[in-house]
Amino acid sequence: MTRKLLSVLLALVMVLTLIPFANAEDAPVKISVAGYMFGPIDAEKDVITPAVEKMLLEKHGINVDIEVEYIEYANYSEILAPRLAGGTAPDVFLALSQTNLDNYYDQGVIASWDIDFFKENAPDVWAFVEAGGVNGDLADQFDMWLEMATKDGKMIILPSLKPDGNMPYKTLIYRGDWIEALGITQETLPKTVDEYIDLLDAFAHGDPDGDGEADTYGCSLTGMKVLFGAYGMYNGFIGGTSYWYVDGDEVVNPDVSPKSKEVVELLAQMYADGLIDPEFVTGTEAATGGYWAASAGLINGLYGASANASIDHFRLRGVAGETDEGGNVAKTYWSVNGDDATFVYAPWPAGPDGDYGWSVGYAVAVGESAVYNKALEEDTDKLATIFQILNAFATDDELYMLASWGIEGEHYTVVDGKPVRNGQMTNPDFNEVGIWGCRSLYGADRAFSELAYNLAFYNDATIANRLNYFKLDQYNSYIQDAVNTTLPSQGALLSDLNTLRDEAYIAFIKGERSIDEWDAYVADYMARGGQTLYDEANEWYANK
Amino acid sequence: MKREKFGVGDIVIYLLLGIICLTIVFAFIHLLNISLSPNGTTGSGLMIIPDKPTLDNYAKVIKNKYIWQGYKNTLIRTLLGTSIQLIFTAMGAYVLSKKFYPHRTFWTLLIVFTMFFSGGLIPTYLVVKQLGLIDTYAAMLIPGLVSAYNLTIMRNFFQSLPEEIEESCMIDGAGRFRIFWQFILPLSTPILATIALWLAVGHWNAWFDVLIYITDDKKFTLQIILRRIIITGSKEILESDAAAHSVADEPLVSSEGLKAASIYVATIPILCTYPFLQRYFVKGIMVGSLKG
Amino acid sequence: MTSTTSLKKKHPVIAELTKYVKYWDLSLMLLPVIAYFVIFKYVPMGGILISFQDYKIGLGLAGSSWVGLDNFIGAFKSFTFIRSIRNTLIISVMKLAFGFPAPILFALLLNEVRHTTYKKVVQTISYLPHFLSWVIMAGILHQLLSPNNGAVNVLLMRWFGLKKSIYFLGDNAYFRGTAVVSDIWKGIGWGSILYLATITSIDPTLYEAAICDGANRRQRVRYITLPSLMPTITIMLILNLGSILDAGFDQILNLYSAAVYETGDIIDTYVYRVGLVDWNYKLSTAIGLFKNLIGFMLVVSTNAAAKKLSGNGIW
Repeated sequence: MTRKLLSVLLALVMVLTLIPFANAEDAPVKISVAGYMFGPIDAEKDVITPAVEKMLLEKHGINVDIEVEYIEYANYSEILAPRLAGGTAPDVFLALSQTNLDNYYDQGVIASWDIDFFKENAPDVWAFVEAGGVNGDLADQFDMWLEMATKDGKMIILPSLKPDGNMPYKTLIYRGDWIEALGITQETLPKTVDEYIDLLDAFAHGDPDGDGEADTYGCSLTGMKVLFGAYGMYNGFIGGTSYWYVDGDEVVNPDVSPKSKEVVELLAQMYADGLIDPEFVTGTEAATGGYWAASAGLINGLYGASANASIDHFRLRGVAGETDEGGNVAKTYWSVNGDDATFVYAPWPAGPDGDYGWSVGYAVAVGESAVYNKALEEDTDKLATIFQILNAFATDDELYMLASWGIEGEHYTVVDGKPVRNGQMTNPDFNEVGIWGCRSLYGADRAFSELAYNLAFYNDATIANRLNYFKLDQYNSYIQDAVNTTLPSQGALLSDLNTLRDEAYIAFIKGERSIDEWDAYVADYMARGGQTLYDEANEWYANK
Repeated sequence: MKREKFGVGDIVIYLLLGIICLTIVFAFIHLLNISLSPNGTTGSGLMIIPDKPTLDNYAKVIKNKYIWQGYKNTLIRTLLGTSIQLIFTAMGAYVLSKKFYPHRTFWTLLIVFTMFFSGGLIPTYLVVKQLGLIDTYAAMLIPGLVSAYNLTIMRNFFQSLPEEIEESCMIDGAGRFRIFWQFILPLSTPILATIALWLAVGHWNAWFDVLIYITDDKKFTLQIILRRIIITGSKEILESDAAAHSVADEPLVSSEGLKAASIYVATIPILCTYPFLQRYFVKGIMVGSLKG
Repeated sequence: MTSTTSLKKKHPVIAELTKYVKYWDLSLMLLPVIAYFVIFKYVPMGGILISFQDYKIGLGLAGSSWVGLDNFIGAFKSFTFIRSIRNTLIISVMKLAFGFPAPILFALLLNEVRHTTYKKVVQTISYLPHFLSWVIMAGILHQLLSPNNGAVNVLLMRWFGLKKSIYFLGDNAYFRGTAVVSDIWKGIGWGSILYLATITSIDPTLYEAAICDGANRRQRVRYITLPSLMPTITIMLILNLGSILDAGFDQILNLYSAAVYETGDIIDTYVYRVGLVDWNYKLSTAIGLFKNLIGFMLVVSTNAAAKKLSGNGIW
């Protein structure tokens, strides 16, 4: 007993004597970061963080102690808010979206800094962005990058440059067995709205599953939204925000545009004809299916068309290398319908003006990039150190590989000159040993270097798969939000207006309200704030 | 007591209760079905066992290395939290059940008032932080020490206890402490068991305070670990550099299946304790015999 | 003798304080409880001021600007908020009318079961749904109540000759009823615990005497069990009234959809949707204050009424 006590005392003395050392001048700069991660780091297994720190010290003369914390995504802001108020938040955390970033800025919790300060400390990052990434592919995006990066003349974030950010990602899928049963071939897949509706009709009333019962539909929510695309719009119908589109010299809100009236009229007719699954109102096709991109109804044979998933989710076996077992949703599809079950990638049906497709994003985005605690405005040395590390990531490929891929031979191997991750480990496993921890200093996306861009984009097999796919006629999408900013009154008004739109559309489609009342709905919408948004959007657009 | 005939009324009662229980059992079988299915797409509503049952969801939950630590923390939290809270609630309720205690109404109102008006998350966090409780086990126990709701219910129960017993004890020279420990608490087992059950289940299921106040993985409780398993199991990052890897190699576990499996993993232990608690609900009958 | 005379001369405040000394042992027991409430409930209560501020986390309570009643006015300008108050009240009153008596009835019925094994089994099973979160419950309900082959619709059509399937969760005519019934189903067993505990502490001699007097079972329930439960029922009713503007956030959020906003959107789901613009603490605090003020007023008045009628109240 006394021996135990003695050893505890001894340990205490040792710890106390260590404290002066910790206060010494050459002490490492402590940086805490709430990372972009799949799971927590296991302190006992963490080999990457110490290795990165060592490399930073030895190769770049940057002495830091990086502490990576995992904050659950599901409650990210909720956890962060009290800690920001109480001064216990990490130095670096994430902006999950543009709205989230606007909110951080408005609440006064993130640091801003001079552009020159950044150029000074991370010259290579700046040069890479200014040159438009690899081969100058994104040179035309620099103005937008700068606009997104700054607020009131100062930088607040490093938006990511993503060559694939403005690539289409959604894809229209039909059940292969149904298509076959109805005698349709790749050549006779619908290419226009009329043909599309005819096909949905056949799905609903042609007994495509051959059980002799009228227990099928054409589509659910995403299959309905395909029609908005055919009229050249992305409509946020049910829970989402619509994309403004350009019409002449003004921007128009799809929620109340006359084109949407035409689509809603079509949908009402389709609903009356029994083409639409009544559960579309839940706003998600995965309602009981779990995985967000899965479409339970398509997989279980309730309806035959869905645009809920991407080409990646529906990737065929072997596309991304020999060991590729196919996309996640495809695997679910096979597990329910048998290993030989097929699905058909379909062209988007085109509307009267030849429009088609789904929404696409921009090559510059702030989502999941890092932001820096307001407290760092007072601690410019620390902020400078962080930017110097970002610069090291952009210039030192060895460092980048260590932080993002781990140790060669253990966490990845090099095959044909390309790194391949260890197939025995899952993403949370990689996080446990510290991979992706330190690179969270700049957020979720790739470092600003050629290597990082090549690995993540130019040499990526799944991206190549996407590119090939979207080359096909009428398979790509191009509908972007013409108002790529947060309007001043958006926060106060949009929730109510989206509710108003969703209710009205549902009532029109289900026939509870006559389409003759469309104008009344539009008047109501405009009166409750739609007009304000319209004015603000057009003012922004005119000044652009 | 004389035994009465098993009549029509009894049959109706037995049937009614039976039907309620059947619907519950049915729902839990359905949940079992989801937890055993390889993906979340159990379509039709009348299946008992899925076509291709799999224990993958359970394996994923049980194999998580934090899970036993989580069980341990939750167990400690539940035992400690329930006993501490029960004692303080009972003490407060006992004092406020005494009509002669000075300014009783004022003190009661002071407590009841907090049921309706609270400062919210951030100010409470600041207090907890000022007291240095962040990232300590105490942060799971102290901020919810006494619930005004439970105290009110317990106070109401104590008020219904006959005052004469206490008076006779006082005459025998027993102090208030002794009366409280030796007479009041044993007489109140039904209400104590009820509140204890509420508190225990509350602690067992609690996760939000851990999420807010605790950052050390080693102190995480079962519910937080289960949440993590579900979140990481269903997390999808399409446009990160990990995308190709994620989509191709993540084992196909549905989040619905994981949720259902975690319900069983989390609930079965606490249900096992219930039969032990159940006898305390009957013990309270002693009140009458004592009084007589 | 001298002490009593000096006591009489003392200032009334001191005289009051000496009462605490007289019951020093009770005071000692109450002290930690009061200290807890002061530190953890009253100190943070300043946060209520957020309702009257344009609150910014970066500026804190002290630095944020004052906006008077703007947060309240902003909410009342929204047509969905006004509607959500109506829906909250309707759903809440329905839950009170059917959901409040249900566990009492359940406890009374269970008390009449004489086979202890059956009683214990029923009791244990009836608690199970309490352990399901509404997220899980919603998953189950969406499947069971689905208009496409959901078990309930299949049964109704096969056995009860229903022609067209009912969309319980997507039809304004059925949504509130579905919410109330599922809420009762989930909470009936758990809610009965308190009443069962109270029943077990009823003096058995009362029943024995009643049997001697020839009272049948219904009479015994009516004249012994129910009156003995009355104080507990009163307390629970008052406490329930205090949360009249809580219609069950978790439940509604997980069950509703845009198709039933008309009948199902409640105050808390409204705040949740508007709060999608993160950290809208000023709005949620303001609306929380509004809800609690009304709840508090209801409790004060029902408590006064209950005390007058039965001499029983929560203070």
